[in-house]
Amino acid sequence: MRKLDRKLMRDMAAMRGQVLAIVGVIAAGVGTFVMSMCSYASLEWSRDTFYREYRFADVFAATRRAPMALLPRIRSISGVSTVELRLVYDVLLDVPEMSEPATARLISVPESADSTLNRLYISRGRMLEPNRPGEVVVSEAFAEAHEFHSGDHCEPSSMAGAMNLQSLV
Amino acid sequence: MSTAHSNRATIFRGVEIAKIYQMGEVQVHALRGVSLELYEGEFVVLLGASGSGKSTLLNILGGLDVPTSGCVFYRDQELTASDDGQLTKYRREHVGFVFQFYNLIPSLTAQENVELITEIASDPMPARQALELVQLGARANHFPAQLSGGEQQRVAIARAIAKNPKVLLCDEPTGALDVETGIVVLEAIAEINRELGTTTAVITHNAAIARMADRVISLSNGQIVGTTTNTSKVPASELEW
Repeated sequence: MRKLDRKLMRDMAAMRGQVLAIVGVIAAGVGTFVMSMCSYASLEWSRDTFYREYRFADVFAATRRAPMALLPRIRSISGVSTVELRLVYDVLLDVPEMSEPATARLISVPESADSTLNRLYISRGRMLEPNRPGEVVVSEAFAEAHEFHSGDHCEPSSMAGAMNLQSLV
Repeated sequence: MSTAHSNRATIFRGVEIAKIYQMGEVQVHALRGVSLELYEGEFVVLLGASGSGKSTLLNILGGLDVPTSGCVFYRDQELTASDDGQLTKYRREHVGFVFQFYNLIPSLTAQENVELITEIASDPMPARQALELVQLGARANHFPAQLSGGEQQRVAIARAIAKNPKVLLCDEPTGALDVETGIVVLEAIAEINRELGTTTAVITHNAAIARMADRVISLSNGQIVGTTTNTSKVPASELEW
């Protein structure tokens, strides 16, 4: 063993407490770094997988009073591969524990459960079924905040008038 | 030059060496045009008070420092024209240093301290032999903390000579030692000079030490103020101060 190496070994043995502490700090740092990178990679993979499997749209565009006849023109725009139309409508809901009506945004879904874009992930209950009007699917956070469960009913505010919104599925 | 040295080859030649330290706006003239020659195998004492420039001169001869102006030659090598790599090679192959404070590595034994040098030197003597030259063969396995100041300085001398240097430069080697221990150290240095023929330059402010030298170069205020040749050297054991 070279003498400088022997000096190093003896010096490290003489201050083994500090050496162990430094090794521990470095190991903890490296471990935290590796764990963070793994978590980051995992989250990235999960996000990409979710977006891919549920066909999350790249672009959202809102229009008013746009006729369906515009659909072919939108599809023909360079770079557009898939287009799906949704109806978006804000309504007022009478939520039991809220003193004022809540504003809810209703978004239509295609009749086919296998929509081409922005598919829904159903964590509880079931997907909407054709020919069963008045059913809604609500976001998980909204349902948990107001303790809604499958089969619950929510009355539209009188201001919502003609809306027939009743049953959570 | 003195005729006493006419049969010896010149090992160092310094011409008009000047060294100026810039301390802010103040210039400190450590050396003011020093010219000198050192000869192979001689024992030279550089004598001067603190601040006379003797350590600066030794550092320049040893390749540890470079002058502001002037030329220094080691044999045919112009040190003042050498780059850092060449100076490192010069120090490693040709020069042994002994300092006032021994600079031993506390976690290595005396022998291991010497072996630090023999591991990188091109033509070293065995570490044990170097220690025996300074009468410390029996203490080879002791750590510096287990040795007295004089013994530590002798280990430093053994470390300096283990690579068989042509030149041994000693900067106040007895400065931190009492008289008795200092004499032991000086005897070791004189023995190295005598046995190995190593050109030896010892810096000191102690005029008594000058009596054991072949030649004494006196410095004052950055200049050489006198050079004397001792016709009869006094053994270190007979020195008193």
